[in-house]
Parts: sequence; structure tokens; C-alpha cells
Amino acid sequence: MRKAAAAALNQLIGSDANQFALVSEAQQERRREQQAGTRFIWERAIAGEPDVKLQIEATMRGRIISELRMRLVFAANFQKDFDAQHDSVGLLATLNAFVILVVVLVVIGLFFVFAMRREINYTLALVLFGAAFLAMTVLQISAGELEAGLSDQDFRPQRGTDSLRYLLALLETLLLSFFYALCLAAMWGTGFALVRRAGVETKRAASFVALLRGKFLSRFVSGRVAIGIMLGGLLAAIPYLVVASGLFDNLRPEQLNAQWLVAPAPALAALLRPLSYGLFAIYGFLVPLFQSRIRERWVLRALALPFGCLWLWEGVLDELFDGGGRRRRRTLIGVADQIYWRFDFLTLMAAAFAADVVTSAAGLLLQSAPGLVASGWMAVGGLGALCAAALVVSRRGRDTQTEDEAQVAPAPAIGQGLQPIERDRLMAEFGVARLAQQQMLPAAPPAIHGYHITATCRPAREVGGDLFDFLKLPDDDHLGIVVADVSGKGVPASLYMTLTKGLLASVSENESDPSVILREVNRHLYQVCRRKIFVTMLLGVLDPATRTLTYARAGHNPTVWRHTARGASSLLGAPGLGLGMVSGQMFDKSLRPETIRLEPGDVLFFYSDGIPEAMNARGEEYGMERMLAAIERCDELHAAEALDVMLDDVAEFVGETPPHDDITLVVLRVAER
Amino acid sequence: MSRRRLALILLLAASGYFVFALLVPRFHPSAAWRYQMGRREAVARGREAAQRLYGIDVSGWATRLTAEHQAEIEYYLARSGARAETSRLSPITTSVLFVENVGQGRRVRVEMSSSGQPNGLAYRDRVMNAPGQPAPE
Repeated sequence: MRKAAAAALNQLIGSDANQFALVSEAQQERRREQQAGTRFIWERAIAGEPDVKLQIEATMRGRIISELRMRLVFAANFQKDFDAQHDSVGLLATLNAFVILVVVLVVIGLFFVFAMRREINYTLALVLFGAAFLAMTVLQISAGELEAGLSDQDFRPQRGTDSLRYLLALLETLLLSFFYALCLAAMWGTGFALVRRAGVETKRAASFVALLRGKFLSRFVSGRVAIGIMLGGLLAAIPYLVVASGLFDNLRPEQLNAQWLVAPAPALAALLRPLSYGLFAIYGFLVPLFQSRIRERWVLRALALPFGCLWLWEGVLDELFDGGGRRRRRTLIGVADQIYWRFDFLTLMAAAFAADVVTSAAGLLLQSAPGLVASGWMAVGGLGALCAAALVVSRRGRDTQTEDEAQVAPAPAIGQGLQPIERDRLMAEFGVARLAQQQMLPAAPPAIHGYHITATCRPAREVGGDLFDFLKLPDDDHLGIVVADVSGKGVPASLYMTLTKGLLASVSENESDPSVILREVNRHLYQVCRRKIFVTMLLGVLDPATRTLTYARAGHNPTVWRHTARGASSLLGAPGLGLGMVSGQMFDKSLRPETIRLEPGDVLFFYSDGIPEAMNARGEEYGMERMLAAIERCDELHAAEALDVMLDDVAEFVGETPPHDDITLVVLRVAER
Repeated sequence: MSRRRLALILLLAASGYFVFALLVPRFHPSAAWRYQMGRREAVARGREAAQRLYGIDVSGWATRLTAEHQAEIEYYLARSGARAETSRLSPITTSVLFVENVGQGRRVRVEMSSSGQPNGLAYRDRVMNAPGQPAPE
């Protein structure tokens, strides 16, 4: 038997076998992991390394090698060095795991609280769950994790057939994906409920919501994705800059998961790496949680910092001795923080995704096998293609911000004081009414070459009396832009809003002159309203070719005209009475349309009184002064971003005070040459 | 988005990816692995080793591949550098398991270094895997 073992050794390692000396030969009982048989151990010293020996252990069953393995045997002092560093890392890992556990428990608790209050958006949470589940499952299969799980079971099958074992391993994979997706969806669902409840910083959730609604082809979503992918390089580079600085001896960035080296589809695995749990938990849940209680942004950032640092350092550190199975996140929290606050949650997630993809792809590209290098390039190419597609769509796609912003806006409480059944019915009816009213508003602003337009309308109650619209006028290429406000609030206002919209659509079919349109609308409204209700409106007719805007103002707030080149603002305050207040002749006399000529870069802000009259808890009004100051800060911004800045500024001012009036804002920006 | 902001983002993007590309070959922990086999080649080498060492043709058998990172070996190799004695060891151990789904239900596992040199073997069949099987004479 000894000869057979020596022959097997020779066959395995060739002439090197002569360097090994047999040091042990013994009979071995069958143990859990080892076969019964004769066990041989050969050893070889390593020159200049008294603490280390190369050992080959073989177990023979008759003349068959049941097991043979080469290994290094280390002396105690080597092992001590190794363990000492490993233990220091383990402490951080334990702390991180503890924090994650606490966060998960808080998520579960709050999730049930919001679920009881019916404040969880189950549709969106379910979409997120489905996407995460699918991505995680495909990832595990393409990365070879399922195969790795099966390997050991297949070698020593304890029970069941091969098919049954495969089925069980698949089930295990699906369960892992299920819990991963469930945690992600619960975390985000709760975070989003907190955002909606607090009613602040909703814009940071808007693009992610739009993505979950399947609006991949909107400019808003794709723009954020493109920016995120571009900024992903910074996130990816930071761990390497930290290590290259030489300030931290034991640090190493994240390594490639070893299993990917033999994965069935490593390129696909690199492109499907799961969303960063750490970043997701911090910005999808913890920040909204803090936001629901704290308004000062610097306090929020300070609170998020320790979580981020813990996650970062643990993620970077533990990789030194990581077994390769765990994929840790790494980035400097400061950069992630900047991306989140300057852009939004989706941008940050896209950046984290891009950083993960390039880090994995780099790991593949650094190997010598041509197949792995090709996979690395495929992953990089896939990311590049996604970025290019997002860039193209961000320039040419549809703008759906209006609708999404409305969906993100905090849902007001209704039916207070009623029985639960009545309240539920009322809520359902108001939900339908709210949706119907939102659907009356344009789904997307018109795309006009040389102009960027965006708009939003947020009712203060379940339904509102504000209105904006874009009218296709009979004159070629002329566009009518309408912002209107019906006096009063709630259901009556919303009914007159619907009537006004219908009248506008009807009259503007044959007429392009804004003053004539307003006169006709006034005539009808005056008959219907009988002075009980009135409507203020500003109608501007844009001639894109000549860059002129002819407008008529029926008692509405003056539009702000920002002359970006001169750094000045002026108000479009042509005189005019509200619609439905006075009879035709008096109204006609009051109305004086004006025409202005816009310059490249100029911006027009059409708005309703919900903005300047927004109030905070101290009863102070937001006012025109603050509004003009906020507009000044928008000089360099795209229309959609200017809209965000304005609404954020108002939201910050009012704090937790519930809105007392509808807010409507339309921003038109003339593209620069 | 204003041109200035777009230019800033593009600049940050270019800088980030450039710095990443510059530092990765030096500091990426997986750069030292120099893994030389693809999945297909690992299976081919495993099949050849099974034929040579056990005389078993494993063509048509199911295959399961795993790659495991050996932290201690990597630590040692990084500390001691390349040596002739340890040339068969690498931070990554690839294991190819061949499973015979019919007949004797044999299993052959071949373990290899990053360069594809076999450094471990294992064999099981239905009899050996049977629970309570007594030790052989």
C-alpha cells in the first residue's frame, strides 16, 4: 500500500516527490469528514523557513487514493501573527454586524407600524422586491454560488438523489435571494414612508420612485443614472487612494470573490452585483428616519457619518483576511454623502453600482486567463453601454418629473374623526379623485427645441384647485403655458379647476391670442360661477422661433423673468382681473396683454400663490423676497433642477407645517447658444 | 443641467476612473492571484488528471467547480516571496468535482493551483459514501 501511495504521489507531483520524506503511516477510523483507511504523511522542509513545512497527506483505501492534499503547516508564531491581525478586524466586523442587526430590528418594527397605518407603498416595495430577488438569484447562479453550494454535498452525499440535492440547493439559493430582497424592500418601503410622512426632501426619492414605476426612458431617471455611473469612478477609486496613501498598514481594498474565477458567467455576475446594503441602509432608511425628526441638514449628515465610517472601515479592513465569500462595500462616506445631497438616492445607488462593477471587472482583468480578461472587458463594456444609453435618453427621452413628484408628495390625512370603515371608503374615493385630477395634468411637458420645460402641481389637500397646462395652439409651433388658481380649496375648487381646464382646451382650439382666450373663458366662467368663485390665471403664448412670449394675466401672481446673463429678475405684472369675477366688458378693459423677448439662458417661473404664501410654524410667510433669492441660485441649473431647488427651499422654510395651499410651479428655460 | 455643472461632472468622472485605473494594478488584492485557467481549461485539466491518476474517463460526468481563497497561504506567499518548494501552492485553490450520475455513483475531485497544477485528489463511490461502512482491511 505504501508503494501505491508513493506511486500516486509521483504521478501527482512528478520528480518533486523525491524531496518529500514519509513521516507518518497509520490506520485511520472513519470520521465525519475523512474516509477510513491508511493515512500517510510526507513532509518537506523549506529552506530558510524553520517555522513552515510543506506537507502532503494521503488516505489510501486499498490501492485507491481516497484523499490526497498538499498544504503548508505553520508554526505557532506565524499563526499568532496571522490571528492577531484577523482578530482586530473581527472586532470591527462584530461591531458592524451589531449595528446592522439593530438597524434591521428598527426597520422591522417601523415597517409594521407603517403597515398598520397603511402608509407603506406596497406596489413600489413589491417592484423593488421583485427586481432584487431576480437580480440576486441570477447573480448566485451566474457567479457559481449555487454550484459551490452543491459541490460538497455532491462529493459526500448523505441522503437523497442527485436531483433532490440540486432542488434543495436551488431552494436555498432562492431563500437567500428572498431574504435579501425582503430586507431591501422593507428598508426602502419604510424609508419612503418616513420621507412621505415628513414631507421634506422628497425630491431625493423622486427619481428612484420613477425608476420603480418603470420609467427607465424618462430624462429625469436616465439623467440621474448617467450621472451616478459617471461619479462611480470616484467611489471606486477612493479605497485605492486610501491604501496608496500609506497611512494605514493593514488596509487592502475589496478583493474579487474567488468563486467568480470559475463562474459560469463572471461578466454577468459583475454586472449584477447586489445593491450596496450599507449605502442602501444609510440613505434609504437611516437618513429618512433622522429626517423625520431633524431638519438641520448638518445634523443629519453628522448622524449618518459614524454609520458610514464604520461601514467603510470594516469593509476595507476585513478584506485582508476575508475568505473571499463575503462582498464588502467600500467607499469614503464623504463622497457618498456629497452625491446624495447634491443629487439624490438613485444617483448614489447608480454610483455604488458602477463602482462595484468596475471593481469586480478590474479583478477579472488582472487575471492571466484570457477568458476572465474577456469577461472583465464585457462587464466594463456593459457598464459603458448602460451609461451611454442613459446619457442619450437623458437628452432625448420624456420628462416625467411632474407626475412622479406628485406621487412622492406627502399624502394628507383625511377622514379624521370618522369610523374606520367610513374613513377607508372616503380615502379610497379621494384616492381615485386625486389620481383623476393628477391625470388631467399633462403627463410630461412638451419637448421644444431650444427650451427646457418642467412643471409640478402639489395639492394641499386630497384634491386641489391649482392648474397648469400646455396648450397646442392653432398658430404653428406656438405653445400656450397656463398656470391658474381657483379660489378656495378642496373638492369645490377642484371641480372649478376641471371646468376651467375644459374651457381652456375648447377655446384654444381656434384661438392663439392669450387675451382673447382669457376673455372667452371669463365669459363662460362668469355665467357659471355667479361671483361665488373666481379663477386667477396667467396664460403665456410662446413663439419658439422668435423667442417671444405674449402673455395675459387675469389677477394671477406675476411670473418671474430671470435674466440670467444680467443676473437680474423682473416680474411680468401686466394688469388684469381674475376670471369669473366681473362681466365681459369690465374684464376686457382690465386685461392688457404684453409681449417680451427672451434671451438665451433666460428662465421664466410661473407659479401659484402656494409658494410665496407658504407658511412656517411661526406663521411667517415664505414671501417673494425668499423666492427671488432662491431663483437667483438657479442661474446655472437645468429647468428640472431649478424646480427642485425652489421646492426644496419652500419645504425647508415651512418645515413640518402642513401645506395650507396648493403649490404649482412651471419652469421654462431658454437654452444657451 | 448647466454646462459648467456638466463639465464638472465629466471632469470628476474622468479623474475618478483614471485614478482607479492607475492604482488598481498596484493595489487590487486579486492582482497577485494571476489566475491562469478559465472554467473550460480547469475542467479539461481536471479530466486529464482523473484519467492519469485514477484511470477513469470522466467524460460525460456532471462537473462542479469551486475556487477558494486561501488567506493563510496568500499571507505566507506575500511575506516569503516565490520559492521553488511552494510553486505548487497559490492563494486560490480550484476544485473540479466530477460526478457520475449513473452506475457506481463515483466522484472524483481534483484540486489545482492558480496555474493549473494538481495538488490534491479525492475519490468516492457509492460504497465508500454509504453510511456506517466499516474500515477496509
